[in-house]
Amino acid sequence: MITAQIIALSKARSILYRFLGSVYLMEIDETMLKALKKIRFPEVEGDEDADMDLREGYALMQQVISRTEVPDLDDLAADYAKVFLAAGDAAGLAAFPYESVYVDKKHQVGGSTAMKMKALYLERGYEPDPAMYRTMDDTLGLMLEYMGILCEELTQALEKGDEKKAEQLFAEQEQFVPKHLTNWIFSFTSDVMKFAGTDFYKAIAKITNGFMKKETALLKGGRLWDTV
Amino acid sequence: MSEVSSLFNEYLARIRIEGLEEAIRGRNYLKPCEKQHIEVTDEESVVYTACRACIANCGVIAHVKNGQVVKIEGNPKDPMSKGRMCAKGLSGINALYHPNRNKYPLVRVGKRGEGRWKRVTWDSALTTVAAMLMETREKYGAEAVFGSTGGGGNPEVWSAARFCNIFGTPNWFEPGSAQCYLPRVLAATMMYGGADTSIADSNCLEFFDEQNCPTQALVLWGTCPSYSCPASGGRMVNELRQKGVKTVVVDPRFTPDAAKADVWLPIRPETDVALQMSWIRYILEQKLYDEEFVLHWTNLPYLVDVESRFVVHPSMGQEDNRTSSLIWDLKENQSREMEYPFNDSYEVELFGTHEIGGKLYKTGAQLLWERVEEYTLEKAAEICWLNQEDIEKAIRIYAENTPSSLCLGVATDQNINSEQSAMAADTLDFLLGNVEKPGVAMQRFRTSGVLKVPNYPVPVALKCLPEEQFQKRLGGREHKGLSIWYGGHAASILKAILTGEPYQPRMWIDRSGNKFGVMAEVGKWAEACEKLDYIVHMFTYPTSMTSYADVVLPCEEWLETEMIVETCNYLVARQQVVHLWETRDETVIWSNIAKRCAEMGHEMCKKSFDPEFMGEDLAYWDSMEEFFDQLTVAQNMTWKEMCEKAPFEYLPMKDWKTYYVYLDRMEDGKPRGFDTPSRKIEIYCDAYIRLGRTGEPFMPYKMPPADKDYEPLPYYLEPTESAVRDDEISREYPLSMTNGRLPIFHHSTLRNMPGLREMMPVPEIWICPEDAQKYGITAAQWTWVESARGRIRAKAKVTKAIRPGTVYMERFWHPETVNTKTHGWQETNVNVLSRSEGPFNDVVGTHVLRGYQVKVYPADHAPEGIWTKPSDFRSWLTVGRS
Amino acid sequence: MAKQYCMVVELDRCIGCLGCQVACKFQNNIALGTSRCHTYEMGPVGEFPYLSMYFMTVHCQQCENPSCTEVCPTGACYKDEEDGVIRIDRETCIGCQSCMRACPFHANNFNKELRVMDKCDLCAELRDRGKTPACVWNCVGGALHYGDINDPESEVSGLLEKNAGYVYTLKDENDNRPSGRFILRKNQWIDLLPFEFEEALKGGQSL
Repeated sequence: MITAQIIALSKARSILYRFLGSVYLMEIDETMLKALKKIRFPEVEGDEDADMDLREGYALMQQVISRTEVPDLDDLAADYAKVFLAAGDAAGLAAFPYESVYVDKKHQVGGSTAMKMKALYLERGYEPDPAMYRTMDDTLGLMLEYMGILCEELTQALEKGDEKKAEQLFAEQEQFVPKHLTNWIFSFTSDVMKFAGTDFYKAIAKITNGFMKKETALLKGGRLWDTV
Repeated sequence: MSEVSSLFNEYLARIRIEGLEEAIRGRNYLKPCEKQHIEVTDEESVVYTACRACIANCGVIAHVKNGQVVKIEGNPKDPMSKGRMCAKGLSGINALYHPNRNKYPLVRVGKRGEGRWKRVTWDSALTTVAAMLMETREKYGAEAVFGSTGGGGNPEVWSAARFCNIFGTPNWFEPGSAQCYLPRVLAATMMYGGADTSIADSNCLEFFDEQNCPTQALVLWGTCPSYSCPASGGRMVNELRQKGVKTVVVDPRFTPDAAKADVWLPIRPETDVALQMSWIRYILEQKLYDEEFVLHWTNLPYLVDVESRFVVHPSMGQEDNRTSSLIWDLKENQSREMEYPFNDSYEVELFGTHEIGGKLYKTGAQLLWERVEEYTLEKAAEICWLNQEDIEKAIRIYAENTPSSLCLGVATDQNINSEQSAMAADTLDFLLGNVEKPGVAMQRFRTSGVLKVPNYPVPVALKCLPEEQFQKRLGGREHKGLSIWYGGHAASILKAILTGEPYQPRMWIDRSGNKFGVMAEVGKWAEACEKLDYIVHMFTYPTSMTSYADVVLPCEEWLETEMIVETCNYLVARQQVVHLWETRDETVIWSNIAKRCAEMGHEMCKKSFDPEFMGEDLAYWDSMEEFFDQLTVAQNMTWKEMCEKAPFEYLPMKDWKTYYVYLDRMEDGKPRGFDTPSRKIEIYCDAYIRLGRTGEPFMPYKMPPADKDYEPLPYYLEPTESAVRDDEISREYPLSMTNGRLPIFHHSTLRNMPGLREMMPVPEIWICPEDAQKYGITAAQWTWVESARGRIRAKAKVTKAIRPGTVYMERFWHPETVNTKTHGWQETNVNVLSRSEGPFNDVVGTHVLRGYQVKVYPADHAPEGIWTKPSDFRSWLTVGRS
Repeated sequence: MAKQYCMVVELDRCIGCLGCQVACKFQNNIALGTSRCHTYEMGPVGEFPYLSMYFMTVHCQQCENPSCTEVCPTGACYKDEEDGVIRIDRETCIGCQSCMRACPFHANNFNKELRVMDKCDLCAELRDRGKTPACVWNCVGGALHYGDINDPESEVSGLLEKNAGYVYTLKDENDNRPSGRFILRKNQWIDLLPFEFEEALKGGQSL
């Protein structure tokens, strides 16, 4: 049975996925900073790993946002470039946000892993915005946004009462997350923690960690609204 | 409430964030498009392309799987490499996927040198750069902007020249040019009008038909093809040697080519002209020259007005007709006018001095003889630190085994006697008649018609630079030889920055590897950067140069670039195999910048996009395809079509190799001759005098004369810092420094390739056992190397392979320390030691990179922070976890 | 007769470009700091300026009587009966490095990441597909050849016959009977193992 709670959950997942996705794709700008300043991040209780990650992540995020002003945005952008692009790191070490780098034997960008993501998006009728920075097909940000889209579609299906469609979408999510996200994202966020110079990206890494652990628990197989 | 429901509530509480939706408004990056099904298979495809790890352009077959380059190998069809690739080329995949690649345009955050960058869009970057350019032009004049190129074998050297001409600044330079290849191109152009004898610059085309080529002897003078171009030139020379061709090597280093030569002349660095002049003297005295050729096809029999120093051209009236000459007829014992090409009814005298009408005249040959007369073998042996018998043996190998060729390399281009060495070297081949016959390097073979200038397609657009701007070229007046490459004088630009005289340059836009690896006395360039308002660096990965920059523009690696490659009788297409991130071909970047300047109101930049205005100079392009389509039309195809077809023969070998071009019958019934004013080979080259006085034939406008006339014949200059002069310098710094190529690096590039760098993680200083003992140096020990300009460290290699009294080091820098205070160039780079101050070579302004004095003494330890073990380079193996 | 594939190197043709080491590195994903073949500078020797030097690339000598297979405790290091090439089975290699200590020619390396031994197998994987070993394919000097020296019709046998009198093997103090052959006409062969020679040269011994 579809409840308001389930719809709300679906919507919240969508927004968080999109938030994280966009942060991994794009630097923070003035508009986003202003909006973030208005937010009170949740205070999370609980002892599970995921809870601790979220608690620490949100708290750190809250602190960072409150003390960050527009002139500081360049520092954040510099950290973005260093953490995800190795710009300014002579050793070339960074948390490159591409699945192929973490998952393929040769750890090289591109290849079939990237191609499979491209194929997946095209199959569903999506492509990276040509107006955006050109990046690898298996970049994390797009994958997270994709999950955001799936959650949005799920929300819409739930709102329409289309249980069948909702089930399909949920199954798609169950397939997608372990296959393309949680198979590498925790190694990735650990690298982000290692390389991040600013607390902002550390916070994002922690939130990502907690969120994806929660998602893993949710998408463990079974129908979303079964026993309600 | 059920357990599941409460779980959902808990989850919801943790992830529902009020206001977050607002924060992500507009931040969507996956857009809807038409659904498409693509198969992901393991299918491999191949792309026929060409390497560009150096300038040799060896043909490459690239294997691609799922958009990833998985393997590269040589293309057996390539006529120069015949399927081989050298160590440098083989690292191409590593270079392509290197984690340090400049991936997006970057703008500095914080101060220069902090190593902090933020990514910006191309649109934003171009606007920023154009704004800097326009502002500088507005406030100080376009001439306050200077451009430079270079690095990694120069993808497209004329791109910078073209941009500068269109933008309106006369100032651009290349660390090479006067210090690399330009002196030789100039001499061959001035004296002959055909190809110079550089192997590494993909000339000496005759030799690549190794099995059929009748060459008998090769002199490798200051060149080591085994190291500079192993797969093409090195391979070719090796095959000739295997065939029995005799070789002579002139090099302070006992290189592989020296080890396999019949004679090795371990010359004192940068004394080459003295040796060359002794060779000329010997050949003249022993009558080893091809008299027939010299008489009929060079201007040596022509009478020269000793006072004016010009060759006499009796019929020269209002027309600049220099084809007539005055000779001395031995039959009638008088001077006679002779029309081109020759008059066999005269008995033309070769060596002669005559007084005619109260004025003194000498033949070109006579003047040449007088110039070289003092350079006996004995004297050359003394100056050059060689054994007289060996010199003679070498000359005889060269002169008695014809057809032969003297292939001159970059060594002599790197000191103040550069131009004269090129003149002397060419003179030797001219004297022996080693011109345009089978088996010699100097040829004018047919071309495909696609490239107007060999190897580099971008039209320079000289006409776009207003005369007023042209006259402001720093160093232009004094070193007019640079104008053959339309360029400015690096040392003059440096001086102007440091002193503000004659005006203050303010913005540097550089496309290259590492200027701090290759310029002379690089410490001065660091000082200079402090005086510049804006610095833009375009390259594939960060180098020391980047540490001084404000904006970084990401260039493509060679597996991403496109270029038309003409090699022997083949056309090869370097095509984009894959394309990563937002790197761009530098040839397009310059065009993009010009477009943005045009949008900001720069009139000439606007016009540069107008095909009618630009005409043969071609309108600027938005893509390589758009550019190349205008060139490939010469072969009746589009660029895409050429990519499909290449590599292919544009002419069969037998039609391509055209010998004796000078004998071709022209419309006037006369033989074509050579592309010089007299149509003869101008060994006595008074064109140099004209060049120095006016800039003719290269400068679009006349410039005031250089302070002193350029010499029509070679002359020897002892190096400024000399080992044999007993002065402060030689007493303090007793050893003569030379450089030379390595097979695993190309100029300043490839120090970031683990597979290559592990073979030589730090530079070596070669010192012979006697000198090592004298100065307390032991093998594999860290050693200080010091000149009057600074000191650096290197690891000692004690070897007989470097001659006594000299040391050898190759340029080096450390990508791993670019973000430290040394910026990677101060630890071990030999160019901390070289000379940027004058005197310079008169004609082309060469500053001193080799042949200056140093001292060595033990160091306690390695410089801090540099990587020295193979495992140190692991993080550079690929993007990500390695 | 049993096949014996090995390298035959024309030393006069080697120009010391190091391309073979790099070609091998990329073909076989060799770990940094190790190499399946190595180019040695045999020289310069003599009195300046009359020096001599040749370059010598040394791969596994695919010995007839290998020390490495003898000491291998698991049999991971074995001589392939088909072609005489000595191989390492990565599955059974335990990385004890006994073979490395046993080999007088320094032909094998320890791969720290995979914790197994690594050595030249004449690019077995390429040969299986009818292709040429990477170093041979890529040798700019045309110095590297490979083939069956027990087959009188093979290219390498022809080469050895043509150069009879100038064919050398590495100094064999162990009765390993190295199969690798070196052809040297234009220089005096230095009958020392290359790394022994390098040591001697470094140590300033007169050679």
